[in-house]
Amino acid sequence: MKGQIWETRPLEYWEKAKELRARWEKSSDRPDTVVGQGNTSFVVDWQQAFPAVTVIEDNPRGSTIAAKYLKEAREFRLASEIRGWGREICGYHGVFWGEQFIGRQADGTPFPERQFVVPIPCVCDCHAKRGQQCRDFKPVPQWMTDFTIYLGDYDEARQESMLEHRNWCLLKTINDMERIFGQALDEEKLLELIRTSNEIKQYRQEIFTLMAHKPAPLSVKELYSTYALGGLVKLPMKEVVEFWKMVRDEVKWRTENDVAAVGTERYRWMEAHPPGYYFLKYYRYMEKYGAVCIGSQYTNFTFAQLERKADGSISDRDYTVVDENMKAIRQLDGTPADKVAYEPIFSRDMPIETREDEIRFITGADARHPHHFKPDEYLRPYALNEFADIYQVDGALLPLWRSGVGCTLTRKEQARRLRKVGVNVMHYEGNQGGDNTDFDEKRMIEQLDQWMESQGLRKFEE
Amino acid sequence: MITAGIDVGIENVKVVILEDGKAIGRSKGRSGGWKRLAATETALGEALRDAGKTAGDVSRTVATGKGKFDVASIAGDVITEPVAALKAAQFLCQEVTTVVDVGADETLVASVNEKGRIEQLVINEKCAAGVGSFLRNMARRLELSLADMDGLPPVAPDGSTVSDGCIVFGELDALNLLNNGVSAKEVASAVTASAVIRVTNSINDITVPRLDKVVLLGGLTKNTAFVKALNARSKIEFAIPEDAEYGGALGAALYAAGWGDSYYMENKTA
Repeated sequence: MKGQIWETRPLEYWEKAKELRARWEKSSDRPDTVVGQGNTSFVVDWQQAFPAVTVIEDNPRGSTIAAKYLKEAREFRLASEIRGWGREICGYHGVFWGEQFIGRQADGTPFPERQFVVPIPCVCDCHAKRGQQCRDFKPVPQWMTDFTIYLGDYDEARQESMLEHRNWCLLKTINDMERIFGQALDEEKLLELIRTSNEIKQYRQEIFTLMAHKPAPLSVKELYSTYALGGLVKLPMKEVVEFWKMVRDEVKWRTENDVAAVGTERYRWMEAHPPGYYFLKYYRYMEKYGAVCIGSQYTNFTFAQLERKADGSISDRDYTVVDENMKAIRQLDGTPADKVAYEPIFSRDMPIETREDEIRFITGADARHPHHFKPDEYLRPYALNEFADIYQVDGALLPLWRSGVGCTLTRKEQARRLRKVGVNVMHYEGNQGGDNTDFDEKRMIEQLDQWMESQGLRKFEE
Repeated sequence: MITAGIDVGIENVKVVILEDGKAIGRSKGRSGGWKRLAATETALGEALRDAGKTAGDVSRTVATGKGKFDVASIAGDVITEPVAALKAAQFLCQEVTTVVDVGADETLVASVNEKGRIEQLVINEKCAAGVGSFLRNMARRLELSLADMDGLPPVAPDGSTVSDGCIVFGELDALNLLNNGVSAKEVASAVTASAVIRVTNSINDITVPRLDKVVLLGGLTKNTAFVKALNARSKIEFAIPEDAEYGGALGAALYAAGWGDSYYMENKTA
């Protein structure tokens, strides 16, 4: 390999990752299963505690179609557009919903009929629309956890009651599902899922700590095939835990032996959000310059919920520490300065004795801060600088997208903050990671060339 | 040592012949659409004639510009436009702190740090592309020459404006104004002002402005109405070197001559 600096070798966990993903793609094929659409939980996939319930999450399905079935993706998107879903809706959904409208999946098989929908609980954004489409298409039950929010003065008692309301929503969902589908939720299995949820997290946090190593043991290419396993990509939890342990072991070994993901690594760059799944080849293109994408807040699961500790490890953010970032957030969301705003109400080590406790754990782990609308969204732009520092990046690629994840507010302000700490930023335009309508491949390649050369890097000869 | 630099743009191809750090020949022609290679060969021949040299005298040829990959059979190497613009700006004006290159298709702004390297690069976003082409097309539609546009005010005195977000809308707005009896010169002012807004937007995107010495390069430097309006809106006194129009080609010729070769990491370490 021209320009090789580091030893590199194929990943051993790769085959297992492929097998898991392939199995997930066919997970709705079981004839006995009740197929739903939506998102059960990022932390504890409670659907698995039912004997035969499968919930298909829209995001990974939409991105898979965009990445693997470009022609079909266009067809599906058009099907959504002619029904009035414009391009301001997340691109993943444009294509994913198109499958339902046309009645056929991207691989040509019949679309598995949805029997219920459990949209992701969100307020005031297009996430809430995810349930509407499915429910409007066919009158199936929709269960939605309210995203309780209160913008008045901070009130501890109100905090708790708002979170308890969310618990009630999920409890009702599960009780209704038991009644309607005639299946009993296995409490023991749910407890097992709760216990397991922390194991995945621990392995991931170890991996993301190890990824700060130079040369990077993994690049973002590998992560985009795996990072959703056990999260949005729902699979049997035990297998997923074993998988992440396998990844951790291999990454640890690669780090100890300086085995690089990319043998030419001499420049490290980051993203903030998922990529255009229809154009993943830009990662390999950048490697021609020796530029390695070290990940994003998505792949590295850092978002804003994790932070680097004094010993260099990456684990849960301590929201009670009021650093400069937190001060900025408080100004935005109006939390009184003398309040420890983000202290969890239901802690992870709470005793679990009843179904209500199980639900409290799930809801609490998913969103412990009912007073605020997605506090991590506020913190996330600030946490980008922390990410850049942890992974010692030289540059950042931030899209200017019209909708969905890359459309995050303050994109240009993020760039400004990154530049101030010496991170060179490039923007590019497009719709969203699942929609290539306004994405210009040729222009992006030109921009990448210009970005790299302006920083003194030339392509290694091909 | 004699080198040649070729800037293959969307509208024009420009060639500079450089001998021992001095530009001795230049030429400019239409870039020829799909006949880009032939247009470039013609322009190169003319530049060599202008320099009094032959192809055999040239040690190295480097291309830049949007069409640089289309002339691979002529150029031995290519460099990207920002690096070419920076090289030219540094050659023409040592104190350069920011270079702005406005061409037919692309507006490029690069701030330069103390080490003479690009600190931040801004290239127009998609909808703001084609400033040069837009002005040329509009001048043709309005039946105005560059000389006619010389004395235009930086904004239309009657307050007429056209879209500064999209040239297609901009053109429609201009036609609308004409249909409503606004004079061609007023419309030309409005059109120029919209182009200037797009360029200043790119300049304003630089996070840490370095405006001590801003060098303006590119074909639009020949459009005095545009330059005046840009000065007025941005409040920047641009340095416009004599060879500003040939900036890209000059930068490529300089790179071919090894001028500032260490810009690239591998050359530096070698």
